[in-house]
Amino acid sequence: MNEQHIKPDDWDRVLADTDGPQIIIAGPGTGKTTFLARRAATILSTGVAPSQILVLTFSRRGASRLREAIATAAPGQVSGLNVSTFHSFAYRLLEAYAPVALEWHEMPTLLTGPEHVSVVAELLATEDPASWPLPFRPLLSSRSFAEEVADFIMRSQEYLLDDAALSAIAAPRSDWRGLVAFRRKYLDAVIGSGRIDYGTLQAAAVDLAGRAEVQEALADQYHYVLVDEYQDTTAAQAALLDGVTDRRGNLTVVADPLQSVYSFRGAELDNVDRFGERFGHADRPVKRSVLTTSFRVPAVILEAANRLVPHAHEIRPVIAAAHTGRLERMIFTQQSHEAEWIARTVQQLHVTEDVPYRQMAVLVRSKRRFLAELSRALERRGIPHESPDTRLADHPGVRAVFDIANAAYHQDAPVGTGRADDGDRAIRRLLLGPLFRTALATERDLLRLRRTTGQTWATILEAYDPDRFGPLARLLNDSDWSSEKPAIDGFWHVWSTLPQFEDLVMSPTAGSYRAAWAALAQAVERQFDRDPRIGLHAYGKLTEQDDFEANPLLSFRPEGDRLTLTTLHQSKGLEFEVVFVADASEGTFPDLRRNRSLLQPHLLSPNHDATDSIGFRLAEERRLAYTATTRAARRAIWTSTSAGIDETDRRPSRFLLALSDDPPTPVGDETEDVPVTALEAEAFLRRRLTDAEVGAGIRLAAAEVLARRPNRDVRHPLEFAGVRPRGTDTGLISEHATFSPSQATSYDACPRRYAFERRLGVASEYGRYATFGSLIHDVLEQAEKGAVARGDGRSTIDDALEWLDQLFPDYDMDIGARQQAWYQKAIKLLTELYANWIRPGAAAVILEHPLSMEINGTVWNGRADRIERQADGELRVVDYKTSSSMPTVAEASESIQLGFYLAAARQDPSITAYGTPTEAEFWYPAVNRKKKWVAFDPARLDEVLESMAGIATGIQSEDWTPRIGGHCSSCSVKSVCPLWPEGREAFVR
Amino acid sequence: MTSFSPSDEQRSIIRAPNGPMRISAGAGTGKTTTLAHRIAYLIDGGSDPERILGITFTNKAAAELADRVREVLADQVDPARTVEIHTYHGFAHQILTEFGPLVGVERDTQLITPTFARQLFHNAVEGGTYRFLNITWNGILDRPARLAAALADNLAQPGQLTAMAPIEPDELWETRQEIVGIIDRYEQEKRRLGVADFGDLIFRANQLVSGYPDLATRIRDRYDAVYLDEYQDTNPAQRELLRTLFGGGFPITAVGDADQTIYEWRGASLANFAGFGEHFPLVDGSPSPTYPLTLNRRSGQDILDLANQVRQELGEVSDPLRALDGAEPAVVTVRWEGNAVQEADFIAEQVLALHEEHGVAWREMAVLFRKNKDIEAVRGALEDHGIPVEVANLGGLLGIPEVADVFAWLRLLDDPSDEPAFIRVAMGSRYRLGMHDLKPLSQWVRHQPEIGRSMIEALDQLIPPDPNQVSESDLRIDELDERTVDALIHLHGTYRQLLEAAQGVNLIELVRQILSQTGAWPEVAAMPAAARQSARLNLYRFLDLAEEWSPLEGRPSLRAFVDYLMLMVEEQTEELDTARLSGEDAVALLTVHRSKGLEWDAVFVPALYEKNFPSSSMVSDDPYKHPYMLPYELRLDRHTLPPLTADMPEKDRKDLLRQRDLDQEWRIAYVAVTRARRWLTMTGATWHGTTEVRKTEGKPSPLFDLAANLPNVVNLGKVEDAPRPETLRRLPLAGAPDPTFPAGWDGALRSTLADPKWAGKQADQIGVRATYDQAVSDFQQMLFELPDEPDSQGTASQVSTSVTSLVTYATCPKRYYWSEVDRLPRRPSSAARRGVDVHRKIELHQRGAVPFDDVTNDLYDLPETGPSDVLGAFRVFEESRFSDRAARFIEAPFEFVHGDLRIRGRIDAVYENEPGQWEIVDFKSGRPSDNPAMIVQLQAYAVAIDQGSLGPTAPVEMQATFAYLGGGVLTEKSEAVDNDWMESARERLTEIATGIGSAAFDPTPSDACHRCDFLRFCPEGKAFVAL
Repeated sequence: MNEQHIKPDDWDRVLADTDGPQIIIAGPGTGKTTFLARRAATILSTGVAPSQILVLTFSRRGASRLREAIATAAPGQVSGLNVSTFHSFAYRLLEAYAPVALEWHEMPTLLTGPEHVSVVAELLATEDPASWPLPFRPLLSSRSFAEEVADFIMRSQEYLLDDAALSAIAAPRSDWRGLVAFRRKYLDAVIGSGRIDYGTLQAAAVDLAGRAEVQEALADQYHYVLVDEYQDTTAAQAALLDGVTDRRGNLTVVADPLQSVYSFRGAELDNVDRFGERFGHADRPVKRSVLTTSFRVPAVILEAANRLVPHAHEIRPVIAAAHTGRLERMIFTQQSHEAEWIARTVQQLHVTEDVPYRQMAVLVRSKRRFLAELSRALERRGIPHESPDTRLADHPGVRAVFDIANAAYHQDAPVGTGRADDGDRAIRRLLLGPLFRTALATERDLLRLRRTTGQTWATILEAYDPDRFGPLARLLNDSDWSSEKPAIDGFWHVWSTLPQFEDLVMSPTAGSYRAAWAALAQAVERQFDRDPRIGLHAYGKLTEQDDFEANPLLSFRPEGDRLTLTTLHQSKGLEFEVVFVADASEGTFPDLRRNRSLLQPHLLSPNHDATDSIGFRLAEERRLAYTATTRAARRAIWTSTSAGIDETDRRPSRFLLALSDDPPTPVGDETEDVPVTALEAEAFLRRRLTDAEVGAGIRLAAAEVLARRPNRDVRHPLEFAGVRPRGTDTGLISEHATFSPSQATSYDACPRRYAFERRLGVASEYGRYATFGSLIHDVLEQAEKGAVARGDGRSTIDDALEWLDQLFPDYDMDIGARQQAWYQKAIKLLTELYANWIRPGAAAVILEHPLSMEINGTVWNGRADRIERQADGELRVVDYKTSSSMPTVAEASESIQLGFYLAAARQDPSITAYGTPTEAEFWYPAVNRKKKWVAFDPARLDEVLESMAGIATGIQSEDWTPRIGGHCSSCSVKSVCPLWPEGREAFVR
Repeated sequence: MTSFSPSDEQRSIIRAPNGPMRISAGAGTGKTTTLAHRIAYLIDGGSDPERILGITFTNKAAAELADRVREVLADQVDPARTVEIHTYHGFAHQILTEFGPLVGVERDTQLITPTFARQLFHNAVEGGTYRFLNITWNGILDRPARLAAALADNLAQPGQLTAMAPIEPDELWETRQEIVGIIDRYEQEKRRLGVADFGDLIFRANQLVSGYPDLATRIRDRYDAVYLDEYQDTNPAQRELLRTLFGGGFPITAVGDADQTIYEWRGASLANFAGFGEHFPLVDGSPSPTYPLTLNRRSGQDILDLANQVRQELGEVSDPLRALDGAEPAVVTVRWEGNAVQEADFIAEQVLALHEEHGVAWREMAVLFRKNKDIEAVRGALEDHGIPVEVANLGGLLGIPEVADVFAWLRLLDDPSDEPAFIRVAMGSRYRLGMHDLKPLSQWVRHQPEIGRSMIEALDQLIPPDPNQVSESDLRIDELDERTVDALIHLHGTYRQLLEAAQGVNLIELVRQILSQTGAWPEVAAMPAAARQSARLNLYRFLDLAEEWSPLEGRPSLRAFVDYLMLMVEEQTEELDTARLSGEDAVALLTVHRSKGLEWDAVFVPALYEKNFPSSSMVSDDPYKHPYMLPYELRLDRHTLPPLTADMPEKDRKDLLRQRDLDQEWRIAYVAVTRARRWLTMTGATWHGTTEVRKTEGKPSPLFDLAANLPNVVNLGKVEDAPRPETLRRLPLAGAPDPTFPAGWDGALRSTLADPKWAGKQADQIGVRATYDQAVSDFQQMLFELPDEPDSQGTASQVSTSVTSLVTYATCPKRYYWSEVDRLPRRPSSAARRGVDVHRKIELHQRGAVPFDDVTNDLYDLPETGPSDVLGAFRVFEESRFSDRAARFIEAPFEFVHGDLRIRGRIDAVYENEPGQWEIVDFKSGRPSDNPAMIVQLQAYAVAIDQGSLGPTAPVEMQATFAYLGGGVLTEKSEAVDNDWMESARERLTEIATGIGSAAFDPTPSDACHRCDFLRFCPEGKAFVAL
């Protein structure tokens, strides 16, 4: 085929040659849209009516860009011009001719991808396993398999294989047994039920376009056909064009084989190579032209991009644009840093070089995670940007609506079941969320009521606060709207009956909520058009699916100046001054994963030779990298992370490395750059202020300027971390404070911890051990009191277990299995205690007895667990401990607690009535050893009383110096203790 | 690559005949380089790079190999082509992505990390009842997880385990049954959520390749050769997978070092490397050969001498490591300090010296610990010396104050009664409240028992939940001073916002929001360099962690995450520790386990006292004593394990296990020592302890002694008879007071705020007035010169709107506002209800052919009245005067600019009644409307035509008609379009354009209010309707 290279000067000549089949090979920025538009204008200028021109492309966006371009090239002449996507062209073709030609009486609904799979899955489930190959028989109910079969059907239609052709291809393959018959069954079923998938739509359109009567009508209607992005057409689309243009042959296509990136959607690169074969005739030879000059891409970027696609020069030489450009490759050690750097660079370009945001784009291979990170970084800097595929379902306003539906749906599920848990979670979110903003205590009360009474939420809410929760309760009670009615009516019902929406509708700051609800209303409306059976609850479930078509939030004025964040694929056909190709890490880009290989539908392609190899996929990824890089008119910046030593580490993409022979630039901490925003300037000054090395003059100046804030965007210094004057730790002790020995023990261990726990009431334990301790004390007290009252020497394990059963429900010991485990633990401990009673010869005389004593003018109060009399008549004070680790003999011998018990008991007439106590000891039934008790040494009594006096002085003078020790490992206020690293102030070094 | 001159060992590997082989590569012996050349050799011989498969443990190792191959092949192959490389799990995952459904693994199955698996175990534990298993402690989640992993690693099913139980189970077996019950429920959880764990991957992949030999062949046929890296760390299940795929003489090469097997506790099997020759025999069935690599290309000889000594502890060394001729000399240093704080300071000084005197970059130094607990002291010392550090282990991470803040917020959001968390927030650097300030709140709480137990709940009770309605007077508690009230209100506002977020967003998003709501990032930016870097890196580390924990969208995971962190605080488990090292320019602090495969110029190994390293922790993996260990009968590598049996005395088993543990300790030591290139410093100290100082003196460990007795070691001496210190806490550096600001820089800032002249006076006093003045003016200049945001909105002044919207505006501007500007939901009206179908039918009927213009449905106008009957309406049309006439235009889209308004629409039909006499017709599928604003529609159409929107040909005369097709009869409303009519039409459009442009959206109540979707939100409308 003859090929002519067209420089800009030659355009007019080529444009004027409007007739016959033509293929224009156009590299990045060589003006293919402009070329097509001007071609249309040229045709119009010859007197052809707009309605006689058909322009086809892939996306709606592409179509509207083309329409605009043509309107510019041929002002005022475009009314009636047909610009369409292949998609809707095929559909309209059917609409026009299928009723007669195919005897379709209703136009079918076009299935979305997930819907297509669902239809296939439903049908597969009804298949007779015997008609499928053995390994696939168990898969007939598998969603993954349905995806493969759906894909297979789609491809077979795109390759225009009718039953006979498919049978012929499938005959030698045992694994395709079953597919031919299934496809027939599928086609009958979908068409019969008024639905159609896109592959079948294409095949039907090709069928129609191949019929003589249709061709004639089309030839009358369309004299010229123009096609953009021809390299991405499927086999069926090429055949469709063949039919549409057959009579006149006036077809102009524009293609760039190096930008073919949709083979996974069936794009057949071969179409470009075989253009001549397909559309050429002896009397109208195909003309092939190459647009040689890029208006957009400067040499440095083009050359780098060419390195990604070997042999680019052989395919077609592109002369780079004359202006200068930059290509950069930046490497980070952290994704967050990468995102932060991009945000900063975008802002810098915007404010210092006046690059509009809409002239910049961040492109990624996969939306999975990086864009969310980037979006946060952009938000922090207030940079307007397209939300990266924000899922409408994740918006708190929308979530609230689904939560109500969910809760209503689960309304009757019995408490404790998985369904009820789902409902409980929904209610909890609802209460704490934006609609109700319920107080924490209220939420907790309600939840407790739910758990203890097992009543429905409607009942509980209605009774708790009818004014506030009544409407919600009624919604929950009558849940038909959530599951029985179409989602659209369900939504309108919630929307129009719940008064809580009104506050947010009227609030000036809740704009995103209104937008989200409006978008939701539209989404459920579309859903109704597709499938009116889906209720609101089911719709909410649908949206949770990964492949659910995400509905981005609708926003007012999307045409405003905002940064583009999108995928490499979607960047095709766009152009920007600055392009970031971000998150370019090995594993992410190139994406070489093999997928869906069970049925190998690529083997349906007549040119399937290499399509399964990594090489084939790599080639396509290369083209993707090429396409993305050449979106940039001035700067192309590739970024990546190189980090980590573990399984989730990351390394730069081979493409990033291949762009140049030089090593990429590692990016360190660049905060010392000249500040471009007030926040950066503030940080700059604060660093001057704290840096002892810059000199007093500069530091004072920094303080001065920060305090005066000549730029109001700098925050008030009292908002900085570490600047507010620190509050004091005094004033906790009143004059008449009383003390207990357990306090003294606590203070003795660590005064600071004592102050927090005992004086500020900061709970000392995270966990249930303390509660468990009180439970055991309580049980023993009751059991032993009973025994004393009966006159028995001691209670029995049966007494104790009886009391345990009685008391346990009053203790908040966790829930579910763990609660049971605590119960078991209590049984175990008590059983152990009673089986090996520590002092079998002794009997209790007094239980749970308050003790009081004055030392050096300070009054101490305590409580003895047990006073018992031994066989020899001596009295002993006993304190139970439920911990499983016991103090050493030495520690117990100087225990403050035991010392106090002994001293105070000796002064207590109700005890001395029984005799003089001589001993005091701790009992540790839970320790895993033979000896389960430790005793106080009475000889050290004075010593202990003296230290108590010292402690009283310490407390009264509010000396809260922390003390390190073994107790620290269980200390809960370590996080505010200067002795521990996690206790230090953040940000202040 | 030009300068590579292979050693003899390397050459024989590179040119070895094709077939299975094992490379026994000592640490640092250049296995990656050797492999790269071997691969290049194969490619040279005609293989495609893509047909060579490499399997490694980390992506980093994978990428290194790929880089090296690329370097070697630079001239032959283009840089984007490379060998196919996977991690072991990644390879199995790949196989399942392709063929998984055959073994019940759906394609959308998500892979969960071990940490996330703990969440599922949490549920699994909750779902059971127990008599033998104590589930009241956090560590419980770990045990079943370990047993489940061990089962999967050995391709065993839980059922096989329970089948082993004696008929009358003893307590061991009873407990084991309960654990198996948990595992069963865990499996159910995984199925319910459609997720798989690492163990499943290998298990299922095995099932697949052994069940479908032709698929195995398909996979094998993709490759010409396979390379396995770090083979000594593979488990039996992985080995079986590889054997099924690549056994029987396929050219598979395993590279490894038996002495670096340190992951036995994670399932690695010593048997794999040892038995490679038999597992992967030659085609003729004879054992495959082994090639050694002993020439070390990393370290100096002195370091290697120590490494060889360590290996001797593991048995005879037949192939000692040798340094490269001309390698840089290495320095091994030992130092024994009095206590751990001094030891840490010594390390910090050495690090500084290496950095300053020898130019060693921070990132080229690492401190390797046997145990997490020892990290803290060294980190503190390094930070105090101004050295940037990065802690790769989670335990250390939670000790970073910035991370501790985030953690406190998470705890408070999870559990409002977590008072310590509240205290941390209230007393932290943002609010800086003291106990004194919190006392009144605390007392108030305790005197109001019915309110609740915690301070945050009390605040929540006292402060209105809507942040827009809070005023300071709301918080009325006696004795609370103004500054405290201010702080608490702010704290509560932040809390409520985050609480809302916590109910919906996933964990990673929540952590991000905490960081952003609490202003953490600007604070980090304001920190001095070293601290800034540490803080930023470690916050990133924490974000990674949260990310790892939230792989499933929307699953509530805050509670589980907090539990997990609490567990990590109490009891650090290496396996669960998912913190990472970024490789930024900071000194790395990490455990030896994490250091595998990494190297640094200088390495420090501290805390080498007896029983610490080598460690002699309690032996606790006796499978015949502990229910969570897998009995040896079920292990695939049982013949290489210590010969334990159930009937052997417990003590004998203990001895056997202890010896095995000790071997493993020496292997860990070997790994630690061989990480260093030039400087290796081994230290210890007499007095140690984490909370309290240990009671007994520590003595040098055998590893320390080994180093100290090397001939060339630099022995910096030993502190003798060190006294037992009171504490080993590193007290906050009192340091020299700031010479410029004796009251601290914060004090200086407060003074400046209080007294406008303070800074100037100080400058005078110190005698730096000139510098000061200059700096003030520079700084002010800097602030003034900050670039302004370019005006972004300026470009978007033209509003694009549809004709339908114009009618809406004409009806009521407020209604337009709610439907176009700040949208609210509209009453449902499906496409059918909108009458779109009628229009399509009319269009088809009129045109006889189909237009292919791609116009969205939103330009069809909404009916004013209720649902319509499509067929009925079309029948009315068919009987009307329009039916059998050819329209000049049908469904003609247009767009024109009027003032600042870009108006889009489509005209249903234009009939040319007589030449030059056009009738615009708008079909309505419903009944006639009485809304006077409707006329705007016809006005816009006429103006559009007049402006040439439908083409240059203009009509001579126009007429505009509404044709109502609803209700069974045609109703027409027609207007003659004359000049006056046109004029008022234009005026009307201008009026509307001005209104919209100037944002005039006041309501104009009318009868239309009765049908308005927004009536509920419109006081004026409600008032009108009530009349």
